[in-house]
Amino acid sequence: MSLSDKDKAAVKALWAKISPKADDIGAEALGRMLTVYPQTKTYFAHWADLSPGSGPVKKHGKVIMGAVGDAVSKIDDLVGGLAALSELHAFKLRVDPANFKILTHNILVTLAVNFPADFTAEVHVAVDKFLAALSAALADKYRLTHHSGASRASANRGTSNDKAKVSDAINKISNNRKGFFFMF
Amino acid sequence: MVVWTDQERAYIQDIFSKLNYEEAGPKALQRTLIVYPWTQRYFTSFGNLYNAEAIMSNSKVAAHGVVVLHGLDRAMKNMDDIKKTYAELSVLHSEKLHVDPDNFRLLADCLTIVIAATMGTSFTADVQAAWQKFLAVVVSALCRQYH
Repeated sequence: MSLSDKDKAAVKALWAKISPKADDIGAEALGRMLTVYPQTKTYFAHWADLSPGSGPVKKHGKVIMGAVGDAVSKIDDLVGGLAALSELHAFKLRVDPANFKILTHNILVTLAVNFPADFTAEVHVAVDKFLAALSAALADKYRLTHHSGASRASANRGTSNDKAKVSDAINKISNNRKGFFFMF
Repeated sequence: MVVWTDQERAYIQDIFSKLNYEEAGPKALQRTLIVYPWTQRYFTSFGNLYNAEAIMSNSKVAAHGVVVLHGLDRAMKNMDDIKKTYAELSVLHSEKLHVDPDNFRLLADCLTIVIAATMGTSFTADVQAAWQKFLAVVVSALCRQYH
């Protein structure tokens, strides 16, 4: 679902309004996520205190919302702009991408709680689309066949290898057409 | 069998006692139709849904939002057997209305956001957890008779 100019404008306008409170929003969203979706705590077992409002939660909430703000400035090329963050999440943090939706939901709830007048249905849809695009950009480097962990060259080798494997499989299936249909 | 703590029951009763069904229901349904426009496929008989303004002023949407919230009220009043309470509703949504069950989750999320906006900071993380658990049970009960 691509972002229209109207979506981008709405996101930027809301960001301008809420950015002074970005740290608090991040902390609250993270706290909500850890409470409402306890399975997400599994990624933070190394923290001393996982309760909402704790030191680690506040610190990390700030990191997250800082990245969201950065993404707003890179809204015209999220995949390119978030490439390094994507590699971090894919190869080092290895966060299941399903969790991006969960955090998104809690960011939206936090915005509704704190900015009810600004978070209209139209702003909601633009922000939801933006966070979905952000999540997709964050997942972009996942499941690349060859991952030395860094170079774009090896990433490209990975994708052409994937293409070769897929066309290989398709050839095998069409060569065994009789057998294939017999299975059904 | 769903187990509710006393605290969860209290939170959920509290939310419903403060809820204006005639306001929250329409707002939640309008938001769903605007934020997830493919949900409009189930409401082709409602007339003009072409844009946000049309949806917000559509009286059929508003009326139906109230119906949905009264349905949730029934679940709240029968919290210990939502599955049984919703058996007929589940058959209706599956066999007659042919609603993709993923849409229940979308409406639930929009209702959560409407309630968050109404309650403000009193919608704490613990309250949110109890509320979303309630909605998850409701959604599960609505999905039960699909086959």
